[in-house]
Amino acid sequence: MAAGCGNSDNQSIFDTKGPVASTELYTTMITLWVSVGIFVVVGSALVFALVRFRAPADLGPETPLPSQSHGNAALEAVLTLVSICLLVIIAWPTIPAIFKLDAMPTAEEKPVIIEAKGWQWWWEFTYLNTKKKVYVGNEMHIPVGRKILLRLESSDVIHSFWVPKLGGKTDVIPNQHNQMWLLADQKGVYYGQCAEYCGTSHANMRFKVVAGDADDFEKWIMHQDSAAVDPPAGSLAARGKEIFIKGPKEGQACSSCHMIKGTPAAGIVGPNLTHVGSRLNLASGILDNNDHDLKMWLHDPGAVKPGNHMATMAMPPLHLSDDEVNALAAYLEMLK
Amino acid sequence: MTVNAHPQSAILGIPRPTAERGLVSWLTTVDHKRIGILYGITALFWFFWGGLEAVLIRTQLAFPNGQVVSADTYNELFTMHGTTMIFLVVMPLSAAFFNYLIPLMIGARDVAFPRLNAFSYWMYFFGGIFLNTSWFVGQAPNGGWFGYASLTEHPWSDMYKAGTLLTHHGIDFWTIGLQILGISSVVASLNFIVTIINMRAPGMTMMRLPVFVWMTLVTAFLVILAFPFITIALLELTFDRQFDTMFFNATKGGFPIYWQHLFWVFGHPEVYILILPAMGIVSEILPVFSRKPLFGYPVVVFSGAAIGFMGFTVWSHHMFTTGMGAIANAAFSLTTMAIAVPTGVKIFNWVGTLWGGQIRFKVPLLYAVGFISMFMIGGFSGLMHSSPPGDAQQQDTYFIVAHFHYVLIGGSLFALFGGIYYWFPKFTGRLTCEKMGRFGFWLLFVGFNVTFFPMHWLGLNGMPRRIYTYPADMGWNFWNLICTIGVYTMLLAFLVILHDLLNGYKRGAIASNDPWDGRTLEWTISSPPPVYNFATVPVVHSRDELWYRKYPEAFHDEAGHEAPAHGDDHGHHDAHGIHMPGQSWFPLLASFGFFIGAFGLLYKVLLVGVGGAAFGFLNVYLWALEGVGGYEINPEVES
Amino acid sequence: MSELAANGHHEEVDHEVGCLGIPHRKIMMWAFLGSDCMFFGALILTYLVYHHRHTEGPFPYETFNVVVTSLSTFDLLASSLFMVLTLAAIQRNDIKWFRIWCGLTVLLGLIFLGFQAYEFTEFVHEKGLTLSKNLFGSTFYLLTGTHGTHVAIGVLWLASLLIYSFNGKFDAKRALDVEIAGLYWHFVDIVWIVIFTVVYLLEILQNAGVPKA
Repeated sequence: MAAGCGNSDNQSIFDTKGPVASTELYTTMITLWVSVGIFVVVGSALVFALVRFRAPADLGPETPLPSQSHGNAALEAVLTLVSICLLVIIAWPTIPAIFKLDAMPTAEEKPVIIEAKGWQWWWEFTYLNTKKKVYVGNEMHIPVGRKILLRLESSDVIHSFWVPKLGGKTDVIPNQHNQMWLLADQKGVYYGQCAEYCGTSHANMRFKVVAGDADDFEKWIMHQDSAAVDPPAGSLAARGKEIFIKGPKEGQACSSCHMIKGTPAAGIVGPNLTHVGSRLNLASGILDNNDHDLKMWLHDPGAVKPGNHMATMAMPPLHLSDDEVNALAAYLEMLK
Repeated sequence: MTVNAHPQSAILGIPRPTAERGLVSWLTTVDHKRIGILYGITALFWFFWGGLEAVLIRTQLAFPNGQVVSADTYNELFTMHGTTMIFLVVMPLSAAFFNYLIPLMIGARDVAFPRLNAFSYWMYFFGGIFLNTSWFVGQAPNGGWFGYASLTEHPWSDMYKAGTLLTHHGIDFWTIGLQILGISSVVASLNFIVTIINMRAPGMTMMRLPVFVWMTLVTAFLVILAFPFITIALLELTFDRQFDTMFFNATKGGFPIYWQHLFWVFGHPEVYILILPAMGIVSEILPVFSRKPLFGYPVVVFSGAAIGFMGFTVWSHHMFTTGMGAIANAAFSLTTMAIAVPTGVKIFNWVGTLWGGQIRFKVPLLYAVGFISMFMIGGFSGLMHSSPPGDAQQQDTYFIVAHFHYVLIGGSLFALFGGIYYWFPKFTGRLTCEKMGRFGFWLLFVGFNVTFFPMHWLGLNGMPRRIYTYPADMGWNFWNLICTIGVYTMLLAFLVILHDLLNGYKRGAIASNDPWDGRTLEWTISSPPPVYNFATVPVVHSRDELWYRKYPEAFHDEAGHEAPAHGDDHGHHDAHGIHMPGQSWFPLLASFGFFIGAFGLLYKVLLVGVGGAAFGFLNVYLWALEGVGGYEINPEVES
Repeated sequence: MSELAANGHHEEVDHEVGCLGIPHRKIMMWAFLGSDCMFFGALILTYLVYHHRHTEGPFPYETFNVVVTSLSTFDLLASSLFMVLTLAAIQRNDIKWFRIWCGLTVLLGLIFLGFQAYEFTEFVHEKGLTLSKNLFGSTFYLLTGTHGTHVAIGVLWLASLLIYSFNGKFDAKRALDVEIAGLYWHFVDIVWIVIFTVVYLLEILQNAGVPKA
């Protein structure tokens, strides 16, 4: 079962890569084994009874009745007591685990503090205590071995932040300030997905957590803080930049929702695109970051991600021509 | 049988309906048996409708990147599937059994308030239509069956198109529809509480009641005490949406989490409302087909009451991931584990009933045993959720979907279908075909497990719930396809079962009073029963009264007394004839008025809203003035 | 065990008395009131959850006129007394005094509703408190509005009984109907006591000495 018949298990809770996930798996396994144990015992009794006490084939109104037992108080009491004992076995590791996982990292532990904000249908990560305060969309880089304190916010409806291999989920609720912590033991790319139904494209609200060593992390922070590269004058990319800032038509400026540092684009209601070219995925984890997928997105965001605000809110509706798409793609791809 | 008609009371010149056959007789019936049949048939209709929604859901998920339905349609499908199955199928199917059987089991002639009973049915009937009208105007509810704020508030419940926000009425169909259905349930429960407490035959003490009656009583109390919370929650959500209040609207200072608390204070007792009647049915079937009494009757009864009571203390286990804090999580974790005790005790007692018996593997028993085994699996996954650290991974995944389908289908639905097969001879006077019934059961059992067991794995492999599609590289493809194959098997199974039931109704062998060698009072009268139920009100001397009349040698009580003589089994004889309550148009008309008023409220058309409600209240008033009415029957007295 | 049949005799089907020796409709009303307790409980809970969580005014202590509300509370309490007298009158078959006490109960109920209408109007026009103004407005109006609706239903019910008493067939046999209406009326009164305490009096206690704006 664990091999998944040759498929990859990107969000498996069994493949724990951090102490939060492993603690949670431990409590799950205890309840699982207790449950299996009880099921086997009671199930066997049930099967045995069904086989052993089958009515004779010649059962009729004259057949003597079986012993008409009304119950057995002693047996009931014993079984109830046994049940309570088994529940204590489950409760015993559960209660301390609740408190351990609820204890946020102290200042001494020097956690990386990230605000994770849920939007319909993407994630915004703002790094609050790194050398540079940066904000990125949909791809969260963290250093291995260091606690990450997440401040969970929502800008609209309830979402849920979930990276199964690192830990269980906590909801992000508007007007409420939840917190959780995670820690990655190993380098790797971990899949995350919103886990609270949040509207049309809930299924498409995915993200990635990239855990690297401390140097990689510092380099990444500095890089995210840097301004976007400027395209050479007269190039297709330069034309793309122009379209991005001003928009193909009135009321359609990409810059009104998206930021590209170092340009007049300063929108904050969509993901920060300053370094979109170097991301693993596009459109909150659902597309690969390549020319084909980017152009597919630009042509018809609503087809890729139903309900997407680019498709529904732009007024007039966004219908980019092939030229415009090519120009924009050339520009965005160079924003590494 | 002589019938002496009372001078028929007329109101406003409209004569009281008296038709005994045909459409009018069904529209104006106040007979609990007919109302039970109406509930049952309506519920089975919605069951196929909700099942169709499930088939569409599973077809969309059969392959990654599915294109069968759009994202918006999918979100409407899972919302309506859940809402339909809970409020339009399982609860009313349970109500069908309450209606038909409770008076028979306690030796009464009807429920305490027959017209109120009819009103409950018609409110359910119109509520279901109201809710599903949303499909036909292209705006079905899409907030999930538990409608979390802020998604259900404006503007997030609306759709943007070309920069304009278009109002979407789906959530309003949901809130108003549920209010109508809530009134139906609460009113019916009040009726059953009075009936069970106050209309038992002489000698029918509380501890001699069939377990099904006890479970009905506990369920009825749960309904009247839990529904007010969802009523208020829905009212506050409606006010937020229509009148700009801020109960759950975060942008104005409200707490979306408060919706969850109110909802689940209702929602958790609701799941016990869904399972206790099923447990009652199983507690009736097992003794009959084992030929021995229920093991530990007092324990089964008290554990049912305990589950009802404790059901109010666990609600926030649905909210472990909402950031309530360690203390709240720990407290609710412990109360949730505690409620496993009375639940587990029942399982022991059911196995104890079979143990040492003479088990006849008729179709009702198959469903009862299926219930025990499937409910255990569902109970264990529930136990796994009770640990917040574990639940942090399980919540909002297919692991939860697996859990509640095991307890609701493997549990409630199996028991309800067992009940249909068990009481089918009593309702229809005919027997179904055992072979086809067995085939249908096994097809269902296999199909059900193929559909839902893999979902445990999918959830633990990270597949969230309520997603209209998934990518091809997550490792979910194979098992999703298996689940879909399973659901088509279930569809086939239900068609076989439906065919079996219809066939039995039309061509089945004629059933006697007591085809199963039963234990309780409903098997003392004809199949189907006469309109007045009992020619003479029975006098009850023990639990499982009928059994001890048939097998006096089986009787023993703690003091070692012999079975009491059943010399005067025919109790009070109504010298004036049996009084039957009169039929009435008003329950139907009142419900219809509120139904029309609901549309007025939804579309904010004052005339329709006020007019409909006024028409509804007018009919209630006339109903109050109309009085019980009725006529007398003198049945031939059986010697 | 009682030998009473499950159904009463046909002349008294309206007052069927069952196993407990209590008429069906009385048990029904008690069960309904239990449910209604939860209903008001949820509304009061909503008020308390959001109490003082709004950041902008109007605030309760500067909105309420506790003197006026105390008068209306006393009015409702008095109406309960009259309700008791109404029932006593019909039980001893005294139709004349039944009508007087019942009429007075209805009158006091109407006065209470009048006080509430006055209060709501004051709050909206003078203090600027509406349903959608802030959390206080939303929770306060929903709670007291629902209660007022309950009072109005009670007034209509009692007025119906009063009018019905003129039809010539109204006598001590109808005492159960009056008693059940009375149970409802007393419940509505008790709920008001709770609301008055939790919403109005506690505000005064918490803010004694705070100068009004």
